Amino acid sequence: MNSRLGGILKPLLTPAGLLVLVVILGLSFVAIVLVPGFELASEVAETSTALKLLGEQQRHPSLIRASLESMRDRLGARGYIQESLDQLRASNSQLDRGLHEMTVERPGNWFALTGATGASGAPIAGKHAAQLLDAWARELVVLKPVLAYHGVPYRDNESTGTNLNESGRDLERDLNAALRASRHVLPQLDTEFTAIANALQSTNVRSATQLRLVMISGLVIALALVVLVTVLLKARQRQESSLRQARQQTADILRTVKDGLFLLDLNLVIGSAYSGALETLFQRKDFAGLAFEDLLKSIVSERTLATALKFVKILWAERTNEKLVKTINPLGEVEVHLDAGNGKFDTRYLQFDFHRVRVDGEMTHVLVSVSDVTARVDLANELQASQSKAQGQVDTLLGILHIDPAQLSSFLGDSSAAMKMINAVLREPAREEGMFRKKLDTLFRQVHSVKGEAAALGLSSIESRAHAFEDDLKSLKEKPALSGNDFLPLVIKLDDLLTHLQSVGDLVSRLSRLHIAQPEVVHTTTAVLEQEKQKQPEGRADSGVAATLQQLAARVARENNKEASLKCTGFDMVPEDYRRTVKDIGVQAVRNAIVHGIEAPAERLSVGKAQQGMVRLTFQDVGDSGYKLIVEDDGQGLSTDRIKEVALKKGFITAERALSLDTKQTFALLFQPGFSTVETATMDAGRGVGMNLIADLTNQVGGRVSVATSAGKFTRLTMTLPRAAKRADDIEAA
Amino acid sequence: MDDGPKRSLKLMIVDDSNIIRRRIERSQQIARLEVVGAASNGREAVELFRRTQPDVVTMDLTMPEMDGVECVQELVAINSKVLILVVSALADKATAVDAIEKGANGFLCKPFTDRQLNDALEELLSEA
Repeated sequence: MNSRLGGILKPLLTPAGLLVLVVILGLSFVAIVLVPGFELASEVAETSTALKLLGEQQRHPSLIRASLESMRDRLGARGYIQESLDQLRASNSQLDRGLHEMTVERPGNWFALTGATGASGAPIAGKHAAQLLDAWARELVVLKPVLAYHGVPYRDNESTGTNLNESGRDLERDLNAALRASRHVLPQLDTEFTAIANALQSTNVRSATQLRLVMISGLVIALALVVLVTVLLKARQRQESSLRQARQQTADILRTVKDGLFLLDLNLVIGSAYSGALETLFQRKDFAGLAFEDLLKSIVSERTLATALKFVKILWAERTNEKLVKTINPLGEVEVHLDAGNGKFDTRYLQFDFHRVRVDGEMTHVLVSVSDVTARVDLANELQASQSKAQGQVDTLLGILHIDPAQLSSFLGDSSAAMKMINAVLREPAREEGMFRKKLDTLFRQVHSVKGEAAALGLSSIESRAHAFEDDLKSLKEKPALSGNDFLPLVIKLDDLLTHLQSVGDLVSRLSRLHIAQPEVVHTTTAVLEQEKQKQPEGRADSGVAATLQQLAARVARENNKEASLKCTGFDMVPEDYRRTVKDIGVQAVRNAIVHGIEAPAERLSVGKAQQGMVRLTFQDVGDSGYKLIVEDDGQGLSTDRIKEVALKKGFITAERALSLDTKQTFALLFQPGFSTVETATMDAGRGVGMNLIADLTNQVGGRVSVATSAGKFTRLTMTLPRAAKRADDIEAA
Repeated sequence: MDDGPKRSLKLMIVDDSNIIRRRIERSQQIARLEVVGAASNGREAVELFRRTQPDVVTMDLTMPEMDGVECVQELVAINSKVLILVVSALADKATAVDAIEKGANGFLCKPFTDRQLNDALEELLSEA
């Protein structure tokens, strides 16, 4: 029962239901209160008028009777009758007019005899009115002769005095007849008047009661209306406040959320509601109505912009499967350059996500959320960098473990010396162009030799760093004008190289400690390393030079697709003074011989040579005149034409000079700084320092170089070194 | 399982690598899908498409003769209701976006796992 009532009431309690109730109540107010009230009120007014009218008429019958009696009495006393006749006429005409007025047709006619009447139903007077009129008509008949009387009813006689004359007698007779008739009729009129008045009275009372009832129901309805309207207003207020609250919450969310949120319409224009984070993310404020293109234009590349706009457009196509195109979002992780003011740019990584917004199944907007993922990207990069660093260390470690300890120790010693020298050269004051160039050449040779040895030992991490340093030096060399400032960036690369060399040194010493701590685990590398260290001060030894060169030869041959074997003779006789010079020259010479001299295996076979080329390195003690270091390969020999061609191209000589050069002068070109017949620089050759370095190294110790070659057969370099080496590394001591 | 009331759909594979073609054919495990053909370039694909009238197509982008973008355009012109899944490497997002613009429905990045392939096809078919 309760639930059924609830079921009926529930829809009525919604604001819409309440509104319907208000309308119904309003209409019933009009129907129940206003219309009947108006009718009842007019009925009351009508009956009141009628009662007043009736009251006026009600006295006339007795007045008529009094007039008639007065006339008869005066006639008997032969008195003056005119006054009473006038009175009779007045009463008669007033009553007649009154009755006529009452019977005039009008709305709500209370007196109507028949036919339709007002809202209150049957005519109030009804049959009383008919009887009244009927009685009046009978009265009028008897009154007529009296009313019609004119003249004087008396005749004066001296003897008998005043007597009634003819007309007087007639009048007397008529009066008597009228009085007789009136004795019946006039009370009847009175009765009817009273009956009608009573009827009117009771009607009036009824109408008043009804009016009161209508008023009360009106009051009730009005009260109900007031209650309802109050409830409605309250409900509306509540609704408005919850709406306001919802709006406020939305605004709070948009203001606080970390992501940039906004809506794009079909024309890719940003809507008016967006999150506050956008302002921070994009360093601007004017988002409402801004085209998406204009937002991106200044911060991403043109290509990304074009793809991004296309991508958002395809989201509007119903064909496109939203989930299946997420991966090709070109703004999934995009590098942006924001104007940070003062002409600087701030680089950040933003992630844009796009979501379709549907209302009733129809796509209305694309919701874009933007977040700053710079920290994530940086972290990923750092992670990768540290991973590759770790990998590099492992590689270095493995590299070290494979190297013959004697070679490694000698390499570390030499490179540390080279580093000291480079540092000294960099610090050395220089003012003019020539000095700068000389400095560059010296640096180049030092780095080049470190690189060469590192390559020979397979220490690729050192080799690549040295190569990068060389690249910098090379680009400096190509600059038309040099200043002291140009050398500053080198310090960074040098530092990198130095740090790396130190970490290799650290690794080596850690390995030796490992050995000391665990004597039972004999690690060959460290063990030999220790022995080697003890052996070194004793002087003459090939200190691994031959082995280094063997490794270098094998690697250079492999990387240049050549086949070559190296034979070293007499290296155990190299005095300690010359150890480094011989090694440095050897490295360059072996590399030159394999890259430039030895032909490719197929080519060798085609000219009838052994597939494998041969390089010989011989160190000889030639008594008083000192030592000889001979490097010979059975390759293609030196072509004077080729040398001249390259020299021409590099601008070392003019075309006329080329024609006049003899063989010796042509070979001399080889020793010019920057000369190389290989077009592009590789790790092994092409920088044009090889021969130049050999010449330099030889000159530094006071020796000289000679070249012998036979086209297609061999090239032989002979370095003659004096008995006592000139101190070349004075600068090292500085 | 669910191929009772639903009619089975025809799948055409377009890729210039026969390894990928075989891979897709072998790995796809959607009961409703039945492979009706494989093409190694765009031109071949259009011809095969006319003949076999597939409902679903997996489409490579870089192919000889006619590339994927052009092929998508041709296939959609023949049958606007065809569902096309572009299967390509992510190197060039712009070309992938072009293909979607021309009427392809979705994208699957190479290389993909079996799971990724089936999920993508399932997602593609959810619109059919």
